[in-house]
Amino acid sequence: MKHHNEDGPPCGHMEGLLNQAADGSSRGLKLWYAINHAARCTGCGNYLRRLRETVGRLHSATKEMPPTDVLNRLEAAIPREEGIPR
Amino acid sequence: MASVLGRSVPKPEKQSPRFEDVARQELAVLYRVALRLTHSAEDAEDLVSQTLLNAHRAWGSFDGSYPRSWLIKILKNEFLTQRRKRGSAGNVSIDSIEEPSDEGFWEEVSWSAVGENILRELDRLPEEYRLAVALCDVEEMSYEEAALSLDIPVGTVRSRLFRGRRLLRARLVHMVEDSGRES
Repeated sequence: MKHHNEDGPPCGHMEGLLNQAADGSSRGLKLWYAINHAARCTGCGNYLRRLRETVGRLHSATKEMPPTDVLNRLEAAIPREEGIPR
Repeated sequence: MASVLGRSVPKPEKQSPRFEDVARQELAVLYRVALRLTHSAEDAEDLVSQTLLNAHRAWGSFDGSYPRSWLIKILKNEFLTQRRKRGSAGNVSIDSIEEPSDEGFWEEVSWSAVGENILRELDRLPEEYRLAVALCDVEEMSYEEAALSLDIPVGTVRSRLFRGRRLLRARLVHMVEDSGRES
């Protein structure tokens, strides 16, 4: 397998596959291909590692709850009307 | 009516969720997405309140699938309506922004610094990319759920998400470079 980006950005056709591998949205052959490619291609391997770190930080850093007073006001703002059909 | 051993028995009715239960469950997500859009706690609260009213009015026509996406879609539409009324400016194009080299970036920056700044940098992304990253990476929605929320095709979610991540990382690299120059 020949790779053009040994130390640079990811191979052009790999960006989507690497993104999906990084966020866990790909399975099976697509995932296997991305991981296998990244293991052999320095540029894509670095790209996948950095993507996983970025996505991991986003997952963990930003799940804060609204302040209690805000949450209380929003709960109070929920319209309560029985019997509305869906 | 279902038939068991020749006798008709009433089919158990599926309980429809109540609007207030669905809304309460999604309040935190709605507020976080509103904050990403408005950049203001006060505006975010107003936006969520108005969203709840709009959603309550439309509850009768909601088919019950993907309530989070449905509510976020209403929130986004309300945000766009408010912005149109105020005549605010639109997005900034990111086409001209270059991605810098980030060799060693993650080794240079401490995780705590990234944790503190990643939200601020996320909030500085152009809106379409910011929303895709916020829904898929922060709220961990699937591409399909995000597509329903934003009312765009799944492929567009993917491309916005991938570009948003690339841009976010580029901005974090700039941040590290700037702080390195200052120290």
